[in-house]
Amino acid sequence: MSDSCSRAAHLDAVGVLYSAHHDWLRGWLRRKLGASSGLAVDLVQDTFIRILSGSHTHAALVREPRSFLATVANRVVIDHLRRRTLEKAYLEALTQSPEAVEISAEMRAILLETLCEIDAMLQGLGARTRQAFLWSQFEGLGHAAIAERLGVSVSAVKKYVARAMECCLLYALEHDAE
Amino acid sequence: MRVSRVGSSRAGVNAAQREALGAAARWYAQLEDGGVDENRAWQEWRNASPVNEWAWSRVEALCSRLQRVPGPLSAATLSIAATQGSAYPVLSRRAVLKGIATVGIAGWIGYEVTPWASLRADYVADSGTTRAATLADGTRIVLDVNSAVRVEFDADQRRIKVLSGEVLIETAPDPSPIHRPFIVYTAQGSVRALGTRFSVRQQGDATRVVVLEHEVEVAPSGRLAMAQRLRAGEYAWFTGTNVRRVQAADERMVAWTVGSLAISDWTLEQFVAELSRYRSGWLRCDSAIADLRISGAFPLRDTDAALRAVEAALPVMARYRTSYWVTLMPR
Repeated sequence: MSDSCSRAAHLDAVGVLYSAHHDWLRGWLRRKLGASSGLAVDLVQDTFIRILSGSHTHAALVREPRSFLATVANRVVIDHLRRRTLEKAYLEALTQSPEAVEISAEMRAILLETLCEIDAMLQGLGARTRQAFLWSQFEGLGHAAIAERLGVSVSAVKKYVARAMECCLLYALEHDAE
Repeated sequence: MRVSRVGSSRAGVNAAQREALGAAARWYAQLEDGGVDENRAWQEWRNASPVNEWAWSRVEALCSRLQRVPGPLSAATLSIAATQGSAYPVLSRRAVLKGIATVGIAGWIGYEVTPWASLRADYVADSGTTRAATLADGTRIVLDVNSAVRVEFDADQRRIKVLSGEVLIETAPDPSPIHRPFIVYTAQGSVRALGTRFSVRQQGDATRVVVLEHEVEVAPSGRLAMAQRLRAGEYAWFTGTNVRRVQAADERMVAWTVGSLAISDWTLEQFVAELSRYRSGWLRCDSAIADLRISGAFPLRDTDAALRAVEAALPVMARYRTSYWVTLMPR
């Protein structure tokens, strides 16, 4: 079986899912979010884009279309909320910065995209592990300085950094499309 | 550098790879804070097996990716985000914010969006070499490393779009019977040539214009009323809405066209950020020495020689983990 053939079948199946269920999905999202219809429409699109580009699930093999859609849409909603949290955090960080510089909307979007990705990489790590990695990787702090801030030993910091790095490496391997 | 995918399936990681990644992560943590004395053991580990080398190349690739965001600002954003939303275990807000008093935006300098800029460019210089070209009207341009421009000449205008990096321009008298203005565009606005020799550099959210002969007119795209003339011997940065302070410029600012970085009284951090534009891989300096001052002329075509010159001038040493990953440390 060639890849292109099965890819075409996947696209067809997504098309069928879309025409049969996108109204339902929009209603489902609107009920769930209690939000403006604009947001629900956007998230419906995001959900189908994710299914289209997803390599893990072949749309033609889906047995329970609505529960499948709801699962993917749930993930989309979580990512959306996380992104909003990061946007707010970014603005707060800017106000804390002694020399805040305004950047273009485009640059900001790209930056936030990257930060979301890093945030996802660090997901599931303990609070100290995550913080130790952020300080060492992004602020160039030495392990001794981090140990002092966290109130732990230097060897513990080394372990945190190694664990975080390993976690990021595995994430990057799994998620790099290439 | 590309050793990737040693017998791996597409997404899966086999046990040997997993183990090597774990070891690479431990080496990373070790080297990041350890002394140079670790270097030999680490080299031996890497040489011991291709899968180790592969794992290390993943570490380098990841680090260079993480380096692309402004460091302290990103750390602060991600730390604050971790205190919000229940998805993450939480460290006290106070502990997190302790670090933020020192957040600067200096890391921003390294953040440039080149990948797709070069896709639609007419002239591109990648890392390592500058590039000179003569355009249809006789205008000469020199592209700095990692730079890309698009050239659009038509019956009415001569336009150059700077997609990334820096370009030095020496305009020629227009051969066309009807005078066509010569205008350089960046993301922030336009620079109209009223004379012959100037450079335009697009970096992050701002554009720098250095005027060496005659005059140019700078106009931020978001506020044309801010348009302003710069004369020979002047330079200024501008954003989409604002032209910043006009300062004195000289030939040294375009010394890159002859393969030299000529500076006076820069911080070491500034110097490293600039030098790293001419090197592939990762070059950074330890925060303890970031504020040291440095002056002189440094070769850009041999950045290792430039680093040796810095070692001779300041109490610092370059630590090479690989030729792609160099850190300046206090000596």
